[in-house]
Amino acid sequence: MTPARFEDAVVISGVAQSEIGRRLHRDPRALTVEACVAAVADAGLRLDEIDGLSTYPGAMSVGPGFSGAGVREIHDLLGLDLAWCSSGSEVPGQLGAVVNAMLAVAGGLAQHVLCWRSIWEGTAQGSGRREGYGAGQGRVGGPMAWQLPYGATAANLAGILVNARMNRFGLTREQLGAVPVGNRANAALNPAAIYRAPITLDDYLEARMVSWPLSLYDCDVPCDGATAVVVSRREHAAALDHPAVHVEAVGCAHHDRFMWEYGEDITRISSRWSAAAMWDRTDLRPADVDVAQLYDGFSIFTHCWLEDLGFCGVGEAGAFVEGGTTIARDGALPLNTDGGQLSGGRLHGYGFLHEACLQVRGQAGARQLASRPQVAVVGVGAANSGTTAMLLTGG
Amino acid sequence: MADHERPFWEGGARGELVVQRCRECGGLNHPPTMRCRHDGSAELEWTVLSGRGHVEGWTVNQHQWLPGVPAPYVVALVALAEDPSTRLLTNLVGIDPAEIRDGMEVQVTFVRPEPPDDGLDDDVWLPLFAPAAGP
Ligand SMILES: [Zn+2]
Repeated sequence: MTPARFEDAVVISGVAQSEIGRRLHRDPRALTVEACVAAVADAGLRLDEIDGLSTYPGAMSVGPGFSGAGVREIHDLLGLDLAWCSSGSEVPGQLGAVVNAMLAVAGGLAQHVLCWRSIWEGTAQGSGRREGYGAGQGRVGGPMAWQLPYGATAANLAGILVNARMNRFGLTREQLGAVPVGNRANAALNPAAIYRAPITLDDYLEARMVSWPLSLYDCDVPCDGATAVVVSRREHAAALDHPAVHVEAVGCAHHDRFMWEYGEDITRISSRWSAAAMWDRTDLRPADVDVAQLYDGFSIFTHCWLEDLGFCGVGEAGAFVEGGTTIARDGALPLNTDGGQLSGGRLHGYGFLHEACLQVRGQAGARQLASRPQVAVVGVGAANSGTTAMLLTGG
Repeated sequence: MADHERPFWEGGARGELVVQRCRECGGLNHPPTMRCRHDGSAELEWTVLSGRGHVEGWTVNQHQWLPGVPAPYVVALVALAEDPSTRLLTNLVGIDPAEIRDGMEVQVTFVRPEPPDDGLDDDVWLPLFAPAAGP
């Protein structure tokens, strides 16, 4: 007998976001509560029906504004009775908290789990130049001990990734600009996006270098905002006043070390492991995907996700996105239809899940794709954080 | 500094690039570990390498991320000559960034950074790399 798949036991019943802005100067717990209450209402539930909580990264401080609210704060602010809860950063990418919720619901530990990712880096980082994580900490331990002495930050490691792909695969800056330019065009239709004014490929090519050949438009924008998602038992789908979002398959695998400069192959990130694990759990294939929401903390990550999910071969993402036609709203694979993090703001992965759910529900407002996508893929995470791949279906 | 990492950071005092090697399989391990990443062996020793390697990846940082660390500088991955599957994250020095090429041969050089004023007596030397002298 085939063992039951946890994906089949759950639905994503509700999604919502708080106000989102470059610097809102609001209490991050208020943003979190705003998103959580709205997601519970979207799921057709009362707050007292929520019996599980799950978040990434939980109450912690690795950098200014990295975590807006932990499980215990939200538990207290919402006055809940819990059957189960979980939080932490050492999960397979930021969406690992949502996977944990799915497992808890499928395993019968909870009926409805409220998940969130809340971030307030825009306000917390202030108006100064963006600092590297670990700045001002004096001596550091852990993986940063191998980076900070050399002044190496995430943007530098992304710059190495871009340059390696240029040297090995012939990636060009014109190709690299396609995702930032395309995301910006999509953001014009998203009233919550941080940057909505169109940019051209020439704008991209003239942008300030952050870590050559990585430029400003290749980096996501720090912001304030919270995204919340409710995972419910599948039986709850019938009670919704909107189409349920079904979970076709999830992949969480991570074979490399959690240090992206010491992975097996410096041209690739850990999406290669989670994407393969996801496809192993479904009969659907890349050709069945109608829309893709793929992590763009740096634009090059989206290239890696496109390849690792099988939309093109390894090293071919530059050619795949070049010119932007294929990834446009009316293209073969609409990509990051809310503007992604490059234009929408660094909601740290949960914006992609939110957008995928709205698109398969047919409720994405002005940016709803006319093709009414039924299969969406979400790829979140990059290298040292681990990654999660999720295949979602409508109806 | 962790005890199992100390010899790497202190080798520079003697001008030596010191990396962990497995006695069982001969594989190099970096950053240092407690069990060989190739075969799980606990039989790890420190070995003095030639200090030669080649540039596997690099970027020219243009943004000041950290107080006291002005841009520009080159952040690089150098594959070690004795085992190119093992690499070091480092800085390239003594070269115009425009002259750097994928795969170019480099040689280790050491700098001793000013230590934080925190009472610890760690003697840390950073291995950096510069273009290798011609044949
Ligand atoms: Zn070994």
